[in-house]
Formats: sequence, C-alpha cells, structure tokens
Amino acid sequence: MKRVEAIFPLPYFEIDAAWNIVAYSQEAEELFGLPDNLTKIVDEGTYDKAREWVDFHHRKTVIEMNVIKENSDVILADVYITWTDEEKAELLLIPKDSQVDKVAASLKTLQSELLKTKTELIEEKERAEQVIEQNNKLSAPFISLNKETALVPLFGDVSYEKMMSVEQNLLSAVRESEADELLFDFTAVGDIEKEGFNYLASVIKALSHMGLDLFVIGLRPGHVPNIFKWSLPEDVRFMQSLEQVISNKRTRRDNERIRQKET
Amino acid sequence: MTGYLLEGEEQEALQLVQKWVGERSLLEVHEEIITPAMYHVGELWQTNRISVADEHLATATCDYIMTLISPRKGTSNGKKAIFFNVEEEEHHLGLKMAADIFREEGWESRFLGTGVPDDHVLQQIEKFCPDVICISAALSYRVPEMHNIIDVLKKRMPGSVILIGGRIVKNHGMNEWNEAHVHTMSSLTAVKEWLQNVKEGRRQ
Repeated sequence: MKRVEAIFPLPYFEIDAAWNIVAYSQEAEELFGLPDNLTKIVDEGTYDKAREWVDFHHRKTVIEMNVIKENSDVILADVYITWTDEEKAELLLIPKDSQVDKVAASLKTLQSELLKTKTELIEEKERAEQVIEQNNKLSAPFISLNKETALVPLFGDVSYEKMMSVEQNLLSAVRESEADELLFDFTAVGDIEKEGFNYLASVIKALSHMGLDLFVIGLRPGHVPNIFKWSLPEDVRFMQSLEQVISNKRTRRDNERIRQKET
Repeated sequence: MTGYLLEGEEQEALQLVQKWVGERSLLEVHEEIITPAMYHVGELWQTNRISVADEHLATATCDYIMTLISPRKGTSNGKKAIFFNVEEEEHHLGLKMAADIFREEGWESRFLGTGVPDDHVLQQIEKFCPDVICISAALSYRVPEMHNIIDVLKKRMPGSVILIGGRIVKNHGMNEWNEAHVHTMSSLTAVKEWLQNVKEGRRQ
C-alpha cells in the first residue's frame, strides 16, 4: 500500500479485485486513516450496493455511498469508479457538500426543538384536561337545603363529558343523604348539548328509580325547546325558581297545619 | 405510490392511501402498501437510480401521510406506551407504525421519534409512566447502544416491559435480546399479536 499524489485534492483510492487498497491519496488518509481494504470504510447499509457497483462489470460509474470516517462518523459521498483492468480500479470520493450538512444539522436542531415544544404542548394539554375534569366534577354540587330537600345547581354547558364526571359524585351524595326531593337548578346553565342532555336524562331516570321526587327549576326560554324535544322522564316536575318551590312548600305546610288544627 | 413519495406529491399519495384506509385495516395499509413502497425506494437507491436526497424526500412525505392517517380517536384502554429510537438512529417509520397499531388498540402512544438524547428520553419516561417501553434500531452498530439503554431502563425502572423492534431484530435474531421483561418484535403483525395477547391476559 503506497501513498500517491492524486491530480485532484480529494480522497482517492486504488484497489484490486478483492477491494484491497493498493494506493491512496493524502486526503484519503486524512479522512479515513489507513484501512487496508475498502470494506473497512463502507457503511453497513451501503455494503450490498457497493458489492454490486464496485465491480469490474461496471467499468466506469458513479454511485452514492455512505462511508465511515476514521472517527467513526458516517458521511455521504459520490464515488467515481474507473476500472483500468480486471485487477485495478481507481476511486475518487467527493463528500457531499458540507453546506448540505450544515443545512441538515440546522434542520435537525429545528426538528428536535419542535419535538420538545410538542412534548411541552402535550403536557400542557394533559394539565388542561385535568383542570377541565376537576371543573366538570365541581359543576353540579349537591347542597342539602334541609333534611328532605337538596339542591343541585348546574353550572356551564351541559356536555357529555361534564355529565359523565358529575354522575358518580351525584349518585353517591344522594345515596348518603336522606333527601327525598331533589331540585336541579338550570339558572347558571349555558348551552345544552344533545349528548349531554341524554346523559343527564339517564342520571335523572336512575334517581327517579331510587324513589326521589325530582324538580327542574330555573329554566331559561332558550333551554325550553330542546328540553321538551329531547324529553326528561315523565315524573320530573318543572318549577320556575327555587323561590317558587320554597313558597309552595310553605303554603302546603301552612295548609296542613290549619287542617290539623281544625281536626 | 413510490412515484408520488419520490416526487413529494403528498396530496396524491394521501388520496391513494386514504382510499385503502377505508377498505383495509391499518396493519394491512402499513404492511402491504406503505412498507413495500418505502422498501422500493430503498431498492432504487441500491440500484443507483435515485440519490439519498430523493430518499429523504420520500421519507418525509411518507411520515406526513402516516401522521394524517394515524388513529387519534377511539376508546381508551387506559394503558400507555412510549416509543423512541436509540440515540442517533434515524430510521423511524416502522416505529411510528407500531405506535399507531398500539393507538388502534386503545393505548395512549407517545412517539418521541428520532434524535432524542437518552437523558431526555428517560425524563419523558419518568414523567409519562408508560406500561410498555418500545425501542427501535436498524443498523447493527447500534447494538451496544441498545444494550446500554436496556440496562439503564432496567436499573431506573425495574420491572418495566420493554419491546424491541426494527431491522436490528431481524439481523441479530431474537436470542440477542430476549430475557425477562424484554420482548422482540420481528414485524408489525408480531406487535399486533402481542397486543392481542395482552388484551386477553396472556401476556404482561
């Protein structure tokens, strides 16, 4: 193996049919060290391609190859191959423009920055989802007004997700309380979505099966068409406001007292 | 399909793929359409008919299409999996396909992709707490790095289930890797079968 002066200031190799390196240029040594066989600098993914193309039956050809530098970095190069006879080939390697490498490197940096941002966004999204879930759970608090009556004011839009989050808390609060009258207050409800409403209707139905008297109060004109179109269980009664429910109760109680006095 | 990928004609390629998405399972779309198209791209480079630049464009186009057909909505099974390449490994399409197969089965997949340094990967794993960790590599000189990351994971997260895929499995066989909690996946079909076994309680 000898060092030769190549015409061009580029990595250059002379090899035999078994790919043994017979001669090399100074530039080749600087880039690849002193490999004794071409196999040593051909990257694994390029090997089959090189086997096919660095062969006497392709007398004069140029191929792209991934080659391994002395420091183990893999670089892409155009390799010009000329076989002078069956036993000797000359290879001139032109590494792909370093400008391209620079662009590729900055693209990679951008890509990993984007990836980082994406991950952060996912984390933020998860946090926001937790907040929404928590918010949803708090959107239908169970408030005991007295021994037999409880109020459930609904807040915000009636959506499927919200009703799903609310259901568990509501059912267990009902189970634990002695209330036999439940007032669903729609005063602070925004939009009513169909899926959300259907879910709420199924919860109300379950409560009605548990033997509770159910009232819906505080409906706004905007709610009414949808509520009637999608319909709640039949035994649910509608009242205008909490005030009306309380005054009705008072009247009923007063009447009962009067009746008791009379008897 | 290969033609569209090489020309970077993502809209045409997408239309073609979407037609198949409607008619076949995601596994079939990946294994019978996208994978062969990308193998063909590789063959064209091997036979000196295209350059690495063409190959990169095809990969980017393919990546874009896969993102668009990725299953995002479905019933969640509450399980989580994380996917990443060993450091410096660039071949990521197969891993991305595996992440989608997991998603299709109701898993929450987090795909970290390529070029993510190990410490960042570990940080992500600790935060995300996945049920399964999926690692991929193609080239054989990544073998030491693969062993290294498995060792680190075993120390930092003992008992976690690790799946290994990519060409490294095909070239190095299963025995190189198989041990307690580490399983090799030789194909997407193998991934699908593994998931099926987990679902039926025969695995994990």
